[in-house]
Amino acid sequence: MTASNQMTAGDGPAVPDPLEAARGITARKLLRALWRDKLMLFPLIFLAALFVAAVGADFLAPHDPLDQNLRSRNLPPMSMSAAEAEGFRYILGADPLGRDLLSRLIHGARVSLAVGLASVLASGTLGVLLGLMAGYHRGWLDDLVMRGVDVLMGIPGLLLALFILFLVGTGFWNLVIVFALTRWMIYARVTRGLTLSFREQPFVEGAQTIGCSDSRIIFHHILPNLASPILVLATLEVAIVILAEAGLSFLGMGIQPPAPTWGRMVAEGRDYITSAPWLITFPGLAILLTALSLNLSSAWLRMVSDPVQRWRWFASPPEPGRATDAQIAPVYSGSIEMSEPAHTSAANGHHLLEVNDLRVNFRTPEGMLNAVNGISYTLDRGQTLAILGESGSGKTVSAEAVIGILDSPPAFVTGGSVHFDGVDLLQVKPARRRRLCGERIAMIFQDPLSALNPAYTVGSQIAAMFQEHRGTSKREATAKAIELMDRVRIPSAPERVNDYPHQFSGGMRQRVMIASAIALDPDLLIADEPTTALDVTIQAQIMELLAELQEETGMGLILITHDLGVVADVADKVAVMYAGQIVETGPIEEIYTRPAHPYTKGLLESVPRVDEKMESLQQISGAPPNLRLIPSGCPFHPRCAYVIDRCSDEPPPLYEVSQERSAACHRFEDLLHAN
Amino acid sequence: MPTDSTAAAPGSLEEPEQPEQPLLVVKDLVKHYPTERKGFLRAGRGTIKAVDGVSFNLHPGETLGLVGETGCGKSTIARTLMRLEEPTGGAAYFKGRDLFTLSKAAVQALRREIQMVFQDPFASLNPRMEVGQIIAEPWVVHPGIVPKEEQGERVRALLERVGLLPTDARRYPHEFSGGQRQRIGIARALALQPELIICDEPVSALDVSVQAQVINLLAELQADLGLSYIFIAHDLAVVRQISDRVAVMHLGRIVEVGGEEEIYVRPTHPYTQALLSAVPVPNPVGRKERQRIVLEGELPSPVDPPSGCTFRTRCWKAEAVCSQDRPQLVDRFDHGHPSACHFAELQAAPAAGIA
Amino acid sequence: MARYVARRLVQSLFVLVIVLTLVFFAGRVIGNPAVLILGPEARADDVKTLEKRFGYDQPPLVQFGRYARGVLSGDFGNSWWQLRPALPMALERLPATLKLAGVTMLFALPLAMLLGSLAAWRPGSPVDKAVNVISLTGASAVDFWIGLMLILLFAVQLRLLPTSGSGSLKFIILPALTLSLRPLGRVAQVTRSAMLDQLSKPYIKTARAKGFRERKIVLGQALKNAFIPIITLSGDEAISTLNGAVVVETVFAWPGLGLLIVSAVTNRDLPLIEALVFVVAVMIIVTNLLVDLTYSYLDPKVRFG
Repeated sequence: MTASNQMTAGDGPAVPDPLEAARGITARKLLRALWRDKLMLFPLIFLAALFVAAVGADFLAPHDPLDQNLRSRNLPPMSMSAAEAEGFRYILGADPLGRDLLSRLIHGARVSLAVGLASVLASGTLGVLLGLMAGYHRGWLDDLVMRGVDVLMGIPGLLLALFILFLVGTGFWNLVIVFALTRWMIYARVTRGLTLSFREQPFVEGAQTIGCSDSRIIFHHILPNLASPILVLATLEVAIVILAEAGLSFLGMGIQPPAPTWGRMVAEGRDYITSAPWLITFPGLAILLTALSLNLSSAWLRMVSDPVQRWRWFASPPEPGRATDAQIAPVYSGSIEMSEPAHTSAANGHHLLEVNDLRVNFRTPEGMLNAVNGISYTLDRGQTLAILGESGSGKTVSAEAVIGILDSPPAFVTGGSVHFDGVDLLQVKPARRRRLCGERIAMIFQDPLSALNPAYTVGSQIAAMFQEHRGTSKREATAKAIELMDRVRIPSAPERVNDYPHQFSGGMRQRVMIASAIALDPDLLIADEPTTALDVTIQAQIMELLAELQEETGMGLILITHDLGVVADVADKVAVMYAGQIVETGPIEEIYTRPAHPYTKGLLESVPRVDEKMESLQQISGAPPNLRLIPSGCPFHPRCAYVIDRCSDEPPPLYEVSQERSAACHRFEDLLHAN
Repeated sequence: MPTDSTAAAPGSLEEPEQPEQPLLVVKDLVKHYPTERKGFLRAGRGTIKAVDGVSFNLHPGETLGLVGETGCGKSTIARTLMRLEEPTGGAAYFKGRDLFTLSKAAVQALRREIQMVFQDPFASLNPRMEVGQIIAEPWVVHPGIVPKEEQGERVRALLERVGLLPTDARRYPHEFSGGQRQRIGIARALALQPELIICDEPVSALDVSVQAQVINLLAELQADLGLSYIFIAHDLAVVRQISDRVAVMHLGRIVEVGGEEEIYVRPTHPYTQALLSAVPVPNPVGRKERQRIVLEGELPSPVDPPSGCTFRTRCWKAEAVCSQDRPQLVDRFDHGHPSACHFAELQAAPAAGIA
Repeated sequence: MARYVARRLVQSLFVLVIVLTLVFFAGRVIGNPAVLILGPEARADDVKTLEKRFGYDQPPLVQFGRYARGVLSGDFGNSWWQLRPALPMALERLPATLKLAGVTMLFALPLAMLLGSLAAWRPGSPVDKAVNVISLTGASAVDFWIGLMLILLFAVQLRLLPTSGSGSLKFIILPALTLSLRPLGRVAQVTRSAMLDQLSKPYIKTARAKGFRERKIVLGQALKNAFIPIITLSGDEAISTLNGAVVVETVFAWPGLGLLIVSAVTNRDLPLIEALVFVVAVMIIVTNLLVDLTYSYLDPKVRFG
């Protein structure tokens, strides 16, 4: 409800838009997905055939399913009918009463599908309506519906169905009613949950503020957004109902003879299991294939409609926790003694961290996406480098590549080097890299609540650093954890060491994160938007703490942020990122007073300031680019006030502006003179 | 809550050149939430005092900034004024009519005059509707404003007004960037030609390079259409840029209110001073010399706020009296900006505060 | 914690009372006991006579009072079919079903969690695809048919295992295997998605940034959090084995509750059904209580409020 600008900091394309799910399943999307997942044709064709068989059973069945012929009893598949004159072939054999199995199977499809679809329609309508009402109006109605759901969901459905059928007797409509009464709860639960969350969505509140009536909000704004999850659920439910109907039928509680049902066909064939096994084989297979096809379709629909699922499924063979991908990055070549510098450019060993031409790609279902496009920077001990950028600029992704925690897939390092204290982190073995992380390189994150494991006490999470890397005993590690909590000024640390993250405030959680990050005295700390989720007075506390710790330990600090004020406060050097590239880098004072790149200049002029009110703000037109469609030439040129012809086709190199400064703009000199 | 604080209606002193009636008068607004129900066999219910007696005036054509930290109640004020939540107490007179006692039908009619712009541009537009439908929906709900055959034309005009293309009407929200979606949200709010727009963190979810576009658009619309804004944000710099007057909130109460320059240049409440000094300035020159008030400790819980002045637990000036007497929001220096602190002090610049 | 358990116990008792009441009125109001006994084609005066004999013509509330007193003393009346007290009949079948369900869950749950975790660890890999096929097939399992096919294969063709009945350990293998398919599929699916959820959480990044070993991250960090949805579902699945038990016990002639339920229904035995409902309801309540306890132990937010 209140202020938090987490959205601004969401960096990179790793997380697909959650509301995209609500956009749902369109016919085009389905066809495109089907083209990709051709295997899905099998279940879909099977279901289509089943549907045709059920509808046209009277014309398609080769024989009357009820026509008995005692001379054909239990005939095996492909046998001819006993009466020569009929010239009739029992393709799947005949049952104990000499009825044609194939014809019975086709007519059985009609029963299964009719019960399945009618029941799902009934239970779905009932459940969705109740769920909508409960979720939208809340209060006693919600309590009542959800109690009912809880109780009914806790009762084994088949038993309940048996009980009701026992009381009211069987028959098609009784079955449908029974399934409606025993299966509506899942729709109600799902619908209610989604309705509750949609209700809180600003677009629903927006509809309220323009004066929409409740029914308009429910049916125009909420219901359409439920379509795809309900469709996925309903498909799954058809399978469940068909299975349950078959089970009831098998027990003799389904639709009564003589109408053929798959379940009863199995029951009837049971006595001939040794002499005529085909009697149970074919109807059983029919049930299995129908249920399987429906389940597959449901899973597939879910994947198509839910981008998160899609991203997960789309994966080349993954190597979690490893930044390098052997197929693309240079392969680790033999046994280099790792204490030796592994690369000549770092041989002088002057820099703590030297990143060279680092590149990261995201492989997504929608294609390749260039998140980081060849960035280079250096950092020394005791120095603070700010990486400044907007969402999608690649600032977080590049830092994750440095420390080696990219989610692979979809992200892969495709080039460049990262020398830490002379060692190329992209070339060393994973085990050694892992030891470097935590011990010598540490990282803290934007949202300290989700960055801490909710299932462990904060003390144990700090202590784990000592146990994992130093083999310290648990007792001793806990003592050290308390010391660290003191050091980051968490009040009454000895009492709070056994508390869980959710019991702390946001600022205190970030202190816990910092405590575990500095536990082993790292040489390099990467802070990814460490104060973005915090209030400004707490931000001041945390930034002060970081500065103090840096003073004490002399560690290098990489500060990733979108906040120009924070950068101005603490950074020695700044690297401004745009569309996966560093567009300008150099000492902070020079860049802020005389920017050499139009983007930097634009940013500095467009942020409102607390220390002066401007007539109106200078603004940069347009929006940051889609990483899939980075403009040619200079990526900033469509938004640039200084654009010339050359900018649209010639990518500017990082021109050296002065000894320590560079800027990727063809017109950097014009800019410097303009200031 | 004594009423004399509201009698000294904030704003009435400093703007004598505005003789007209205030557009909106909020008096003693209170909104308490029960803490989560613990249920069967569990005793005890607390209240979260989200808004605890807030009064302010808003004049036609004016922008009032509401600023404060998480949980100070600024968004709750917006939601109760929009009747998205029912207030626990107090009154809000919009052109003389109390918003809180109006019937449901009267509230519907009033929605034409008060509109809202939301924070999250990604969630504030129905993903299943075309942009044109979204903007025209107010006219469907309130028939008779714009005849059906003119709606298409009006939608295109509104789109152009907020800096989008007329052809964008046929596209879906997901095809737009955050800044563009916020423009769509503004266009929807303008569709009913309201007099007052409540903006709840309208730029805080936007990229830095896009924020200025939306701030400028809002300012432009105000100048052209004579709109009044209540502008809610946690970013003090953004609030300064757009507001005529600013109210600083702390734990459900206004602690200081006054003209933009009064608040930012001569803050008198220690909380305002601390807030302002905590905001980093995008200027590295002379940062070593800059003094900063870093508050100790955490924001107290709104379930169990401190007695007396709610800021006293973090305040460096606090004395015994602060825990006993709740300081009233009164003008203490004849500067036309009331402050709720026993030890309010005029201060030249926030940066000169105590380190 | 103790308070939490007490609260759940009271709630459960409340639910039990409601269920028993509903069952009673369903039996007397929706159905007519006399018609149930005599069958739908019974003559009207026969029905009348029977109603009089068993007191079914008395006002429902009077009948309910008698029923409630009986229930409180554990007396559900005599089974119409076996003519002996219904509750002991149901109770003596309980151990067989518990044994079957226990073996089933002991087999299915650990295997499902293992498969689900393996799949989540390497999404999109061949292991993942295999687990997906297994879990989808499991969820689509036609239990009665698969039971018969297993009999056909292992008992009839290979002669390795008995076809049906109970006795030595051999007898339980096929029914338990049949019964385990659905929980196996569903729990594997939920484990996979819960683990994927957890593995994409920021705290996993923290753990990797801290240089923890991958095995420790997956098992020590993610699994502990993923357990919460897994345990919830496992409880549901344990209850659902009763669904399967009805069918599977019929196929394998396993002398458990399920078989008795089918007999009670086919014999239109109302008192026995009421007793069975009571036993099943208590089983469900106990299972839910166990799940709640595990849940509150695992989730610090529940434990510490």
